[in-house]
Amino acid sequence: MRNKFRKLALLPYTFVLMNWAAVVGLYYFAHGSVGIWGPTRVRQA
Amino acid sequence: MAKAIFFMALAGIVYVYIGYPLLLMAWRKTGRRPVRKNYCEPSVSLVMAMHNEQNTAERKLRNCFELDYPSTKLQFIVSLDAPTDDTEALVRNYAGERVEIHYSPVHRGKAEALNSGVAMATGEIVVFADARQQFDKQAIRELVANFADPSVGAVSGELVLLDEQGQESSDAVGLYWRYEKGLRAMESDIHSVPGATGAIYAIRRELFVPLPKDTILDDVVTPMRIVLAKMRVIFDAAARAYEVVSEKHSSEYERKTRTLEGNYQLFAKLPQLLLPWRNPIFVQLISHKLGRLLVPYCLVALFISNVFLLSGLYLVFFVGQVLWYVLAGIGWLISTRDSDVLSAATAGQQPVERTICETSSEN
Repeated sequence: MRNKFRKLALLPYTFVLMNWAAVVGLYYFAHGSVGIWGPTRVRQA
Repeated sequence: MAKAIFFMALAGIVYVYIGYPLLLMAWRKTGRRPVRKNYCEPSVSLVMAMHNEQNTAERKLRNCFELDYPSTKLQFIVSLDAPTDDTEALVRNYAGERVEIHYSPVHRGKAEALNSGVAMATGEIVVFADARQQFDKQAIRELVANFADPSVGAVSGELVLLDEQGQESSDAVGLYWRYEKGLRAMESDIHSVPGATGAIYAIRRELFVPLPKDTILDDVVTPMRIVLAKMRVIFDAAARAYEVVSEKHSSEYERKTRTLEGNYQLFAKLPQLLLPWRNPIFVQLISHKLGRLLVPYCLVALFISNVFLLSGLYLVFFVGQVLWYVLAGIGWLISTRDSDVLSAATAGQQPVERTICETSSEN
């Protein structure tokens, strides 16, 4: 039950996140891309 | 006014996520163009661009050596883009054996690295791969079999996302990716997919045009140039690469941001794609790529216009929207908690430096 609710909540979250990514993508594009391996795209995971 | 905005926004969202797949289903029934696949063995160059890949490079090269394809017809090229970790040393262990290396001491970016790699290629077919994903043993054979059809200029393989148990991912990201692959399969049957999977795709070498150095999505720009040259870019689910997906939604978010940023760049760099008489897959591109870029604004318009329409069915719809976003908020909390648990579980392990964006784009 708990797992089902988790999945149910993660679906709209993923949908919203992916759409927000389109807005942020436009922001990056408008402000100049740094390229795939540019310094701001490298993080410590 | 509010009603007009409400219905326009709703129509846009419904078309992109439901109407377009239905359109493709109907289109495929009447206009299917099967690919004449034939298992031949042309010479192949497998090109991989690498920056800091010390955790994946060796595993990837071993995976390459295990591919079921005649070794005399398979050239491996690694284009090193000024790595600052141990990637160079790891790859050089295999130099001369079967791996040819292009090394750039200057950090130039992935597009330039790919240009250098393809310049060294001698194979009739060039296969592109990323360091993180593992190829299925038959992947190359399946990819190149499609080039027996002279109308095919590029072939995208299938990237299978696995969870940490090695099963095909069934979380929200996995479901989204399966939906995406369903669209690609239908687009491929009709004419072409508007972009390939960076983890595994192949082109005829003579069709490669060097990429502009600031290219974000090589796996979309190159295939779309091939489409503009009136050749097909198809999707073949038999050619598979595998990747274990991150439990962290933030990683997927970063990847998606890059992909969508790249889509904006695509339209800016290749404006002829927006001309229906130049682009044979104009409808697919607009519906699949441009539509996705516009949906977030439709969502905002839908919500705001709904605020001014709070009666009858509009009220029910509004409550539904609010519930959707409340659930999304709960999902965010769950995801944040999961990330914390994951971070705590991996604490104490050696930190791993990786480029977030070296993974294929989910175009």
